[in-house]
Amino acid sequence: MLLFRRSRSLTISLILFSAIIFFGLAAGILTDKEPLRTGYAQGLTPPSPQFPMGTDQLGRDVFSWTLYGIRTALLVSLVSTSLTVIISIIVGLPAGYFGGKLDQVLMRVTDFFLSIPRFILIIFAVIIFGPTLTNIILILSVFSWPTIARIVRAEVLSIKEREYVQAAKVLGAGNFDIMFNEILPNVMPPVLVASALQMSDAILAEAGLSFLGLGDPNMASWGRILAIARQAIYVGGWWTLVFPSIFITVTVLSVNLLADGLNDIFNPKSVR
Amino acid sequence: MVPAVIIFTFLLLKLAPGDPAVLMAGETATKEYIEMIREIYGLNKPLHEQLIIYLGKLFTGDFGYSFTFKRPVLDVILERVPTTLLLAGTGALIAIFFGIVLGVVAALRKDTIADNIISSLTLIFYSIPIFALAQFLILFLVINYRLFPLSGYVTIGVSPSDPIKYAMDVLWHLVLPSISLALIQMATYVKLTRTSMIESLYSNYIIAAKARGLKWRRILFKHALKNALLPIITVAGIQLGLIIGGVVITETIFSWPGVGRLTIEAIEARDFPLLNGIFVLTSVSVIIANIVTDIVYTYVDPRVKLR
Repeated sequence: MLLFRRSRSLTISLILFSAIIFFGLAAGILTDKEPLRTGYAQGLTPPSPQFPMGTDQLGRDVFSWTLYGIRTALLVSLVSTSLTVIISIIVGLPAGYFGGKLDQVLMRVTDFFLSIPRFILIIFAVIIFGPTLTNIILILSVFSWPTIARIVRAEVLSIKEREYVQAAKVLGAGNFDIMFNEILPNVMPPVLVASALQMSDAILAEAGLSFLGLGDPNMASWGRILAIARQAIYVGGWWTLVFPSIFITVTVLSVNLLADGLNDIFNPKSVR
Repeated sequence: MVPAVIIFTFLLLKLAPGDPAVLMAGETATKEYIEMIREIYGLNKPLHEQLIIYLGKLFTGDFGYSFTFKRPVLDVILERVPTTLLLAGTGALIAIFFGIVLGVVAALRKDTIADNIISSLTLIFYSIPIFALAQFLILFLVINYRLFPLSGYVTIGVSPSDPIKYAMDVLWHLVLPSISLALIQMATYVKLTRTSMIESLYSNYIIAAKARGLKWRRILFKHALKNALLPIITVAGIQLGLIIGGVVITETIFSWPGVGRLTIEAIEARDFPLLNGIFVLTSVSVIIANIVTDIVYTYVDPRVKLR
């Protein structure tokens, strides 16, 4: 409870995020319609008790699409962010710990990936390998690790000089042991903040890909319904834009606030 | 760094499933043309020889031939660069200007309602995907009130022979796309200015300046703000690489005829040489822009030295 008193961002974030997760999990109970099935109604229909968020031009139910969209967004962002963090640690930890040639090589590779425009690279890779769910998750993780790897390395550089690490070394602990048992736990706070930001980035990237028609065609993605909205809003179908936009914004906002909140807790002295 | 980008794209193309010659020629190409591509790029030769041929071609400016535009890739891309620079540049300038203004206001009114409103609003805009934000602007300002043109770069029929009318028309088309781009970037600048402004307002040289009895306005602009703005330069350089995704989407939504829109046209036509060219050229320009940022930084902040 003390944690929540210390950070308003964290409190708001957890309230919003729990609500989103609830809607995502309860999608199957809250609606009996399938997200991608056409022909529930004749063309665009405004919100009504039967269709709480209306339907699109092909009679697809926007409500069920929006709810199942939560699952897609969270699945893609959680899995890809976890993979990103794992790769970042595998690269950043030895680079910072061993230094020297290994560090130079790994950081050159990191700089290289940091300097190419990520979204274009992701688009390019999705086209080459095909827009399936697995490919999108893998591509997002493979091209997102450099930022966090740099953070890991910088933290390791400072932590490996601390006394408790030196003490472990004197006591005869192996490199592997020191890296994973002594250093890694203390690297995690800034990495967790960065992973929350990475997660909101992944949600936006997946939606962006789907918006451009490069999402998995079998998944209900917010990006795709918002691409459908592009035509719908000209013939009065504002509901295809408004409801999915609210859900994606609230989700991304709650994850961004989570990053803020974690930062408040880990760096209580930082300027607020 | 630049050769690394090219080698990387080459390897990516090699990893792609399917015949690279067909990829390079386009799915609708004739058998003869596919064979010609195979011959030109030496696709029957060993990998390292292929790489040398590929590098040689890109370094002499030969990015291949776009089968959708029936013209060399480089010409097609270069033609679109000015429009994209106009959009991305305007967006960045609006974001930086208002970001600094709002950041300074938030820092001076720290922990007041004004500060909270500025911080919350910019965080919300930071969280809205640009394809939602841009469509909301269209819904309210174009569809409901018809204040701005729907899309495009210039009204059909307005010709460059009347330069003032032409420029005004382009500006009018520029408003919505550049505001969309600016709004999603602004949060970064507001937050950065606010944090560094607060830090510098409490630092010793400001206290010393106050003690010397300098005018508050002078302290604020000449001493505090000047130092607080240094990080903006670095971030503006980094933002450039990050905002490219936003530019692609904005140009698509507003049919702005720039490189971003071209990317989508290339995707839709599966025009691989064109896509490859866009990828290599944007990467190279981001790398160059980052080098330029570093150099500018050393001029602005004499404490920093280039290694």
